[in-house]
Amino acid sequence: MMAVTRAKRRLPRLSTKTEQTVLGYLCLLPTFAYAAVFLVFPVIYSLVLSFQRWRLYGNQEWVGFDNYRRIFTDSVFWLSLKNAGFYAVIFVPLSIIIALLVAILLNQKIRGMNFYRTAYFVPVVSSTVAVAVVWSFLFDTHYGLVNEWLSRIGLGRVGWLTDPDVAMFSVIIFSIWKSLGSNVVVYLAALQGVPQQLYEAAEIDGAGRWGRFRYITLPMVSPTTFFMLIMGLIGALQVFEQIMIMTGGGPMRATYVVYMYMYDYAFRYSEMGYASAVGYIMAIIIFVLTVINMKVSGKFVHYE
Amino acid sequence: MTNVKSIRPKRVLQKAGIHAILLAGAVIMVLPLFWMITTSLKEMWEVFTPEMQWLPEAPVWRNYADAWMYAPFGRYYFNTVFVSISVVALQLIICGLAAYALSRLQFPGRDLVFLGVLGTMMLPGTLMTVPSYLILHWLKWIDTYYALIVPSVFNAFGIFLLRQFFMTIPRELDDAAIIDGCSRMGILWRILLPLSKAAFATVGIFTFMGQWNSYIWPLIVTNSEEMRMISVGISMFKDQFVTQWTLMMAASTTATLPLLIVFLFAQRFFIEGITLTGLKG
Repeated sequence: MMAVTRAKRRLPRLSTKTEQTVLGYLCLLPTFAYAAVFLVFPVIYSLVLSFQRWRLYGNQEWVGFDNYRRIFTDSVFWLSLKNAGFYAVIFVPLSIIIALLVAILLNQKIRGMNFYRTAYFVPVVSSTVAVAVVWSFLFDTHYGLVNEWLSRIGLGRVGWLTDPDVAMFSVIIFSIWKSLGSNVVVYLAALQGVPQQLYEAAEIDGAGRWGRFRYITLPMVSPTTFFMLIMGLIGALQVFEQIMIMTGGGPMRATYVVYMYMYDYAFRYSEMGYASAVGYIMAIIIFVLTVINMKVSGKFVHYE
Repeated sequence: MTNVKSIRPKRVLQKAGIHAILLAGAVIMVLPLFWMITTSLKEMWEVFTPEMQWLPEAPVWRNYADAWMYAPFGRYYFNTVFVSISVVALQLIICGLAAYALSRLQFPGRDLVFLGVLGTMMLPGTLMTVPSYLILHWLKWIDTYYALIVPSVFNAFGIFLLRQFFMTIPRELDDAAIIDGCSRMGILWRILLPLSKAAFATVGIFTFMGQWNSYIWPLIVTNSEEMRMISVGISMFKDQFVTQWTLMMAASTTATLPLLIVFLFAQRFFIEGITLTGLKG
């Protein structure tokens, strides 16, 4: 800021306010144009649509809160919401905890860190759909590698993707595998930002390994944890691709999640109004969760 | 000195333990991809044989030829590369301009615009999918490259990242350039751009990766085989060739390998990018 005012004083001609304003908005023109068409309009229009009944090629008809009433009384909606919630509640914390553990191990000035980092990162850059196909194969009841090994150590075969009680866990295992590397790299950066003096001071004060983890590492990386938690929840509630590929929402709707519910209404049954209402309900749920998250986490997150 | 000596064996043991855990993890991370590649080179009977085989007896390249014959992977590749590169190029231009305005120019409403850009990151995909589809439907863009490219050319996070990066470049450079007769846009082109190549590369690589792997949107806005991108192609392939694992693994390898190779060469940018995204919190 100081530099700017100084520069202004020195070069009054070249940085007049109007010039900067005109130029600034010109630079932002593409952004504004995009935002108007693909962000602002959709947000408003989908609210309007959510109060209408409309099959894509028919008439648009106002129905008030009818769509919302139908959604809230549809047990399949609640099931899909419950499934997405279950997925999020298991997947997000688990992936964060494992990532932190791996990052702490990697941060022990270990040799071959680059090798490990690369290995953990490989799934992140792999095409989700392609590796979901691979995991479908690994999880195959008869010819999959996982059951092959289980039967070797004398355990029975598990219907990883065909048993309704197990399928969601299989998807969660896949998702952790797929996303672990990116969380590890983020945590590594956070850990490397923790001043070494803190650990030294704590050691002098007699803090053990656990004490140092509990009172230094955890609070120092808490902003990162908090960020991962929020973004992770938002993403997890909208999980779609891996489920579409691995189970297609089955068996017996055991992995049928809310994004699929919306997708089906929009693009299978062409019920655009109804699907928009589902989209709005999702947006509100995500918004409320994020706000709660921020309020609660505010107490635990330590900012320098 | 004696102290150091007594600690040493414990340290060594500890390190060995850490390596054991990390190595086990690394194997789990890489094994599925290893299995994908080896299976793609096996005969069908080798997959169905009761004794597990790590490697094929002789690599069966025919699987690739067959997979490519059953589905137009060449076309999928072309679509994917064309769309990804177009999106990256447009995004970098749009993000670069916006980031320049938001970091280097003083004008009323600037901070509000910046907040607005950040706010758009909160809009969930579930909300935007239907209306975005309808817009393309009205524009008669369904099943065209426009549908695949235009809705993806904006990247709020890219604007944020570039803006943060521009902020770290000293303004004294701008002043000096202006005194030397450089125009305001020249500052972006001649000073900021060359100094933030790494940041642009990071945004570009992440966008490219996201586009290469994108599935839901191409699935929704394309119908014909000629317009499919690789992920959609793979999912259709899977529906068609259930349990033909060797073919499916050849198809999956086809979709995964190019990006993996890019990653191995441009690792630095991937890691930096992820790190930067984490610092956002």
